[in-house]
Amino acid sequence: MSGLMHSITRRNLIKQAASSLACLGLPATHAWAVNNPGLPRLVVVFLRGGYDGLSAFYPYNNALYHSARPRTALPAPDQLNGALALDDRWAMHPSLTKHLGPLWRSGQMALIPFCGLPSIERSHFLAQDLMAFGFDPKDLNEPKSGFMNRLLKELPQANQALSLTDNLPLAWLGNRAVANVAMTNERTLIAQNPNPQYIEVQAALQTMYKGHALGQAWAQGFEVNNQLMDALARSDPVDSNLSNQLNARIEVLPNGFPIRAAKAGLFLRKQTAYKLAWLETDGWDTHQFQGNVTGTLPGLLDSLGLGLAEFKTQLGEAEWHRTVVVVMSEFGRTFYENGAAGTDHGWGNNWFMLGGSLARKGILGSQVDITTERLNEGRDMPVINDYRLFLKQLFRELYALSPAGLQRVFS
Amino acid sequence: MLDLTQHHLDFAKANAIQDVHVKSEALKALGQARHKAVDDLSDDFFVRAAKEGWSADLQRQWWAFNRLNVDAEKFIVGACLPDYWHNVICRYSNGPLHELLWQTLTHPAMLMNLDNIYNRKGQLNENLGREWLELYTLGVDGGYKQDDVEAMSRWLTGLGLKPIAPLAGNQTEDERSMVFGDTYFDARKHDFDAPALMGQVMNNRGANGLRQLSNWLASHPATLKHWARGWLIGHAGREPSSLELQAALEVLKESGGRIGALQIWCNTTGRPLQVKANSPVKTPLHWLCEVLHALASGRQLVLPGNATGATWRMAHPLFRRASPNGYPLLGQSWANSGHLLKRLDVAKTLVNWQQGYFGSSIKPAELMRTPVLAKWRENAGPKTDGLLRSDLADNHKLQLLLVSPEVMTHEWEFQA
Repeated sequence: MSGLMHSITRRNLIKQAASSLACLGLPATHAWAVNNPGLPRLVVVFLRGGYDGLSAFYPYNNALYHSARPRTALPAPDQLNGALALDDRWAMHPSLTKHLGPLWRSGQMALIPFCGLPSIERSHFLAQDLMAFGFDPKDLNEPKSGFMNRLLKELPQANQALSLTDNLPLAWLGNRAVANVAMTNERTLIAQNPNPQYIEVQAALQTMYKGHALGQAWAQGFEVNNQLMDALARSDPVDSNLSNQLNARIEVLPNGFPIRAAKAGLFLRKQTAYKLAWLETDGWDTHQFQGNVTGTLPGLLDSLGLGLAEFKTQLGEAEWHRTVVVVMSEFGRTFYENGAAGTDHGWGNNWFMLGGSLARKGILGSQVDITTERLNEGRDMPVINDYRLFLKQLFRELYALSPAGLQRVFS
Repeated sequence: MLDLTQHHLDFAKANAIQDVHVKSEALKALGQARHKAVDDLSDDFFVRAAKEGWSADLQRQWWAFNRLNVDAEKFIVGACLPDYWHNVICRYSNGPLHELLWQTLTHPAMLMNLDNIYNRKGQLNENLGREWLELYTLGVDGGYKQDDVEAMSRWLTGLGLKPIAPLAGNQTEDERSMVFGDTYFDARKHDFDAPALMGQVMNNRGANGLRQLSNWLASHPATLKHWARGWLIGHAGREPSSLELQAALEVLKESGGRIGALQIWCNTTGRPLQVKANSPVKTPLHWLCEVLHALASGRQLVLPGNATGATWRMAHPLFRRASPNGYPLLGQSWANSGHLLKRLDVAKTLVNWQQGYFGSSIKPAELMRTPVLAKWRENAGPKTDGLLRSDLADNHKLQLLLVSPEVMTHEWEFQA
């Protein structure tokens, strides 16, 4: 990584980039607004490890791209079965197109290229932390809170948020207590609801932790776990048909993200009160033999695409039209492939967004032609769309947050 | 223990099989052999834990491993993970730091885990170079820049696995090449023009220069601070105060980088306090080792695989953490609802299914009179004590004791 000092010295440069962005302006139209009554739901899918957005969405007409990645670049879509040209610059990887192509074609998907942290951080851990906190590096010593927690605080009508993860990501850190529950890879749904004895233990445990810092986490955990048992029970009394359908799907889905995303979809379909949610998947640190059409990275993209498509299916059309999914990662990877046909830690990245009621499909934010001169330090995609500005605009349009409210989410 | 070079050769042969089915079966068999090696190691770990509890040795060794983490599932790391554990971690976890770091840097497990086996002159792979500076030596704020990451990567070129194929006809050995156990420093792939790192010029080049660089990094003030802080976090589950950090740093410096000295300092000047309402949560492994020891009560852990299973349930599988910085050790990382419920789930299983761990079952009421659990009961605060005296079923009382704040959290004070 480049180190904190390094990033701070670059801050002025980044500020310039940020102000340029303000001048260029993100699209004035409500490109990501949900045209649906009721408070929309936001689901973040975080790809840990720094996903190679330049393979997911690749600049197929760019000669430098093809020469920089002799073993990992993808052929132009007219020469590659399954790839989808998004415009005359960008194409979607066949492994993603297979699952998400229909969403792009029907205007339920958007690409945000050149997106990322305003400062250059090539450390996974620092970059993830900074992204979760959403502050400038110089403010790292301030009391820490995550941007999702601050967003939740600005949405009094959305009193429920949930992280569908093993542990609680830092983006949720803050004053508002947020529960987490893991979506497991198990291929069967929950067999039965808790027995009365278990309920007795729950009550005793909450007595034991009354007034303790962990008291609320225990209480929320039991509540969410009970909801999960209701929603994913094989004999769900509300709608066992849905549970049966999910059960049939997870028996055939590949392990990992697709199963977890499918379960998350049905859970959120039944628990509509959760307006903010978070999923994540790791393994994106592709330093070696990442592949182009086939290989490690295409496998990961296939799993991601399938998971997102399953999430949509299980969520159901009605909820899908009230939902926006943002797919993000801590940084992009080097524009040039390394000596092992992989890619090292870079900076700018290609994020994307899905949702049933996005106003239009498109490629959002500012763009530049990628040239050697425009690469950061001669190696990385630049960031010209500060992720905070992108998310601020999204939050404004989804939730009609005031400028002051947005400022509190991202200073 | 598997022979790494032979396993590597077998892996390469299996990978070259044309028939997809035969290839898949051959690779699967090799994968199973690696899994067994790692599972056996995990079994040994938990058998020890049931006997020793969270002993000083186990704590230090696990901490060192976690700090220099490798993932058993990466490539064929599993084949040499037991060797890494025994001959690097256990052998050198007391220090000195420069020796621990050098042994780690030249072990195939680390070289495979962070892809240095593909790092060669003119075809850099930055993975190990970057993490070596960020995670294992200087720390993220240690003052290095991207140029230094590239310099480190260049110094590391050529350091990889022993060759498994003879040299091709027109290739010759380079006398500057060296063998370190199962590691091979291939001079033909090394960049002998690797530049200075952070302005530090090495007198030697090649493998000797790399050793010199490794020692210089190990003794760098930023490295010592990074390791002292890491030790205190590992010990207390919280960020140390500046005074505590300074004191620990002095111990590390004065002892010539001996981690064992740091541990002795912690155990002599540090003392556990009564837990508070916001004390750090112990890591899942720390908690599990203590609970296994308490419940064992002199019994042997005869089915240790179920302890490994418990770590999977807590999303903390032993030796299977992909991230090179290991598991988080700050208590706040584990203070979340999802994880707490998993601990309750593990506690329930341990109490209700002792047979599956110890091969025998002792009634919960009787167990609670055994030394460790009796001590825990004695130290219980009023709320926990009240529940333990209630008319709840005995197995529920025992489960509650295992997940009580007094057992799940800890509070340390150091005389800085």
